[in-house]
Amino acid sequence: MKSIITGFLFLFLSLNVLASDLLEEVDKYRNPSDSYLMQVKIISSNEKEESSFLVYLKGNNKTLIKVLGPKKNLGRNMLMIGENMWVYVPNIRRSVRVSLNQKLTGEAANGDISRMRWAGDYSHKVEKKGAKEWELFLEANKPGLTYSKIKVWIDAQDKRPLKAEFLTLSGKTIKTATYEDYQQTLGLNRPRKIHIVDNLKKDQYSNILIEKMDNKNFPDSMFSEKSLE
Amino acid sequence: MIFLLLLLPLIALSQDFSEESFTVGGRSSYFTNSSEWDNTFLYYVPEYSSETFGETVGLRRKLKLRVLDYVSSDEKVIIDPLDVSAEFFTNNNSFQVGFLRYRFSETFGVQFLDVANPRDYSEFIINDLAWSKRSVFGVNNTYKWNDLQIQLILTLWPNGDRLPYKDSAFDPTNGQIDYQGGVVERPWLKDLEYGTRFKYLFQNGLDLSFLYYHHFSRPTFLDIKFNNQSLPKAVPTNHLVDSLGSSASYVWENWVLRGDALFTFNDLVQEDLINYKKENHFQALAGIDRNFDNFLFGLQLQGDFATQRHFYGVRSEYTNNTWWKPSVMVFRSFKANDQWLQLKSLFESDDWKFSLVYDNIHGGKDEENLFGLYRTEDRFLVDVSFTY
Repeated sequence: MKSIITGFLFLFLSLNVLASDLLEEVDKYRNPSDSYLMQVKIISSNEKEESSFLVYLKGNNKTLIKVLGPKKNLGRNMLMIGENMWVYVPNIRRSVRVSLNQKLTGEAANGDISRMRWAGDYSHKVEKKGAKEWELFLEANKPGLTYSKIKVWIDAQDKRPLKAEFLTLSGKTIKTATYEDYQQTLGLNRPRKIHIVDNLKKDQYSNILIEKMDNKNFPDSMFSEKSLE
Repeated sequence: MIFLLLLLPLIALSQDFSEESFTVGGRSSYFTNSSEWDNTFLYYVPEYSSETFGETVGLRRKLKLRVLDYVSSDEKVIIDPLDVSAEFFTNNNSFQVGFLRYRFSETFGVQFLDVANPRDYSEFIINDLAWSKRSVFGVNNTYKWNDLQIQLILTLWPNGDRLPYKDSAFDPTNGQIDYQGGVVERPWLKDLEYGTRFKYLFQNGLDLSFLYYHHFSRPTFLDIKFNNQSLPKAVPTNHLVDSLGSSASYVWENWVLRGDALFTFNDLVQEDLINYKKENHFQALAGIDRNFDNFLFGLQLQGDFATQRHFYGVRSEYTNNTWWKPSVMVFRSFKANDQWLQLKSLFESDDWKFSLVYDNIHGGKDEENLFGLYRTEDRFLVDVSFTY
C-alpha cells in the first residue's frame, strides 16, 4: 500500500515538475533567448496599410516597441515594464500611460507582440493529452495581463505551440491565434507567422509576420520612457 | 573621455535602428473678430535618429530641428533645436548630453510640472502642445536600479520663453507700449538650472515621482520700465526659484488615473493685468482617462491656489478611423468666467497631414481673467504638412 501511495505521489510530483517546465518548453519556440530583437510586420483585414515594428525584449517583463511604418504612425513607440505600458503620442510629443490590452493594430493587442512568454504569467493544467496534440488551460496569476485565460494546443512530440484561444474572465473566446510557417531560426524551428482571428467578427483577422530575429543583450537602462521619444 | 572608451566596442557593430524624415509645412490663423489672417509661417523639421547596442553599452543619437520662417511678420527665421543629443547607455545608467526637453508631468494640457524647459507663447497658451516646449542645453544622467530611477539634471544654457511677436494677435501690450516680443535671450553658462528626480514604479502599478528643481520662474512676466524719453517699455522678467514637485499615475481596470503637484517658493504670481507679486505658489492637477473602442475620453481638474483660478477640462477624440481624427476639448474655470473650447479635425494619410482647429475663447470683460486679454481672438487654425 505504502509503495502504491509513494508511486502515485512520485507520479503526481513528476507530472507537476513536467507541468511547470512545460510552459517554458512551449515559450522557447517564440523566444530564442532572454534578450532579443525582432522585426515584425502586421497585416490586418481592416487596415489598408501594413504596420511594421522593431521589438526589443528582455526577460519576461521588459519590452520596447519602435514603429517602423506606416509613416503616419512613426514615433508611436511603446514601452512595457511588467504589466505597465506607456505609448508615445507624437501629436502632443509625450509618452502617456495606457492599459496593456489596448489595441495595437487590427486584431492584435499590444500584449500580442510585447508579451511573448506565458511561463511566469500563467499557471496551467494539461486538459487533454492526445497522440498528436495536447490541450492546455492557462490562467493568469497576476492582474493587468492582456488575456485572463488562454486555451493552448501544443504538438505532443516537440511541444511547439499550434493554436491558442484567448478567453475573457467569464470564459468567452475573444480571439483565436494559430502559430504557422515554422522555419529554422536561431537554431530551432520557430513560428514565423501568427494568425489572429476575432471570434466576434470572424472575417476580421491579423497576421503577425516575424521577419527578423536576433539574440542581443540590451542594457536595462534603455527600457525607460525616455527611449520612446 | 570615459564615454569615448565605452563607445569603442560599438565600432564593430551595425546600427540596430535608424530613421530619418523631413517635414515641410505651413500654418496660419484666421481671426474671426478682425477678419484677418495672422501668425502665418512655413516650417521645416529635419529629423534623424539612430541606436546601436553592444553587449553592455549602447549609444543613441538624435537630431531634430524645427525651422520657423514667418510670412506674416518681420520675425527672423527661428531655428529651434528640438532634440539634438547623444545618449550613452550602460546596464543601469544612461547619460545624455545636448539640447533636451524633459517630461516630468503625468497629465495632459497645462503641464506646470515640466519646469525644466521654457515655452513658446507665440500663440499664448492655446499654442499646440506639440509646439510649446522649447529645449535647453545640458546633461541628464539617469540611474536605474530595478524599479527605481534617479535622475540628475544640469542645464548649462537655460534658454528663454518665446513671447508673442510685436503687433501679432497675441501681443499682450496691444501695441500701446514699446515691446519687443520674440525669444527671451539667455547667456550660456550663467544662471544654471539644476535638479533631481526620484521615480519609483510600485508592484501594484503605481508610478510615483518626487522632484526638486532650481529654475527660472515660468511663465515670463513683463516689467513696465521707462526709458530716457520717459516712454514705457515692456521688459521680460523671470527670477530664479526653487520648486518641489510630485507626479503619479495608476492604471485601474481600463482607466488611467494621473496627478501632478508643484510647490514653488517665492514664485512670480500674476496679480492683475500688469502687476505680479512674489509668493509661494501651489498648483495641483488630477485627471482620469480611458480608451474606449471608438474614442478616448479624459477629465481633468486643475487648481492654482495662489491665483485662486480653478479649472476643469474635458477632452474626447474619435479614434476609430485611420485617416480622420476629430476631437473636442473644453477648459473652463469653476467660476465660469474663463473658457476655452477647441474643436479639432485632423486628416492624415501616410505623407500628408491636414489639421483644422477652431479655438473659441471666452474671458468675460475682466482682463484679469486668464483668457480675458484674448477674449476677442477666436480663430481658425489651418496646418498642412508633408513628410518624406
